[in-house]
Amino acid sequence: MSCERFEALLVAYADGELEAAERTSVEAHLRDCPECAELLACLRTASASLASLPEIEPGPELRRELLAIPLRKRAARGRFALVLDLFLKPSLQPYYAAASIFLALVSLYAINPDKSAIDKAVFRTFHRGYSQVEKLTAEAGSVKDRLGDFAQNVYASLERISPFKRAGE
Amino acid sequence: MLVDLYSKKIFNLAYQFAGSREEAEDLTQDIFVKLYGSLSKYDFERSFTAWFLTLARNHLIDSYRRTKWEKRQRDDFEAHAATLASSDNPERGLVLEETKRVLWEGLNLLPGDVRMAVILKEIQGKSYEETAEIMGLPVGTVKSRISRGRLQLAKLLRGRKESVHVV
Repeated sequence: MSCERFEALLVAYADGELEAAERTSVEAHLRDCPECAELLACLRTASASLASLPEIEPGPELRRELLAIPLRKRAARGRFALVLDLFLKPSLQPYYAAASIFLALVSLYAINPDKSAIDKAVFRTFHRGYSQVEKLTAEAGSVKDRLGDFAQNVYASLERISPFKRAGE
Repeated sequence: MLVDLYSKKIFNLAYQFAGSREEAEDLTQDIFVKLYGSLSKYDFERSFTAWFLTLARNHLIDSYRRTKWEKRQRDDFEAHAATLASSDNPERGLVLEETKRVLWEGLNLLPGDVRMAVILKEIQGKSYEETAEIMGLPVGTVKSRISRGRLQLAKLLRGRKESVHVV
């Protein structure tokens, strides 16, 4: 068995995990090969030494930092939650909707290649609306005049048929 | 409390993996920040320690891949061994300390996954099954990585002994 092939079995041998036949062949090789015997000794030394590496104590500063992590997280989340609550107030939602629609319309207008047609249509619609308002105002004025006349007629009629006035005369 | 129960364990894992106390302190903080962000994902069917160590292992390996610590020097072993109890036999104590120094520095020569497996099994004393669970790998794969790592360290030790004998 070559040393290279043997090395692959050496760890399992050191851990006592080899079958009897393999163990016997490894032991035979170890008797003839001082290098592999030395490697086995080093494997055992390495395992024992690694297992006895001491644990070290973390410094008090690290402990303080670790304890502060949840507090820092909570504080950061607190500030964020405050800002979020402010923006997500239900009473502000109609304004957000209106602003969104307005921005959408402005965007549509801004990217439209035929802006002058939109300008004309808006101008025409505005004027049509304005003249309608004027007409309505004029009609309202005439209705008001007619109502005034009607009221005066009613007063005059009432004065004529009033029993008190007759009694007084 | 999580910090009292796990800070030493995680700090030592990070220190053994990274080899630098300063780096280990930063990594431990990063791991605890990740822990607090991931607690909602904890699967109650699993052992919390294994789950947390998996989280730590993932962070350490990711950081290792990003920064390639193997190019950096580990802390001096003398500083690391400052807490070692003094041996009754000074000569033997020196040999033991030199062996540990070689192994401590040798950890940096191992690839990240192999190094992590060796640390969990050989230094932290986990079983193959526990190591496999933390590494998220089959037991056979973990066994072969640990064997590779141990052989590499043993060869390093043998080479160092031979060079001392030659001198």
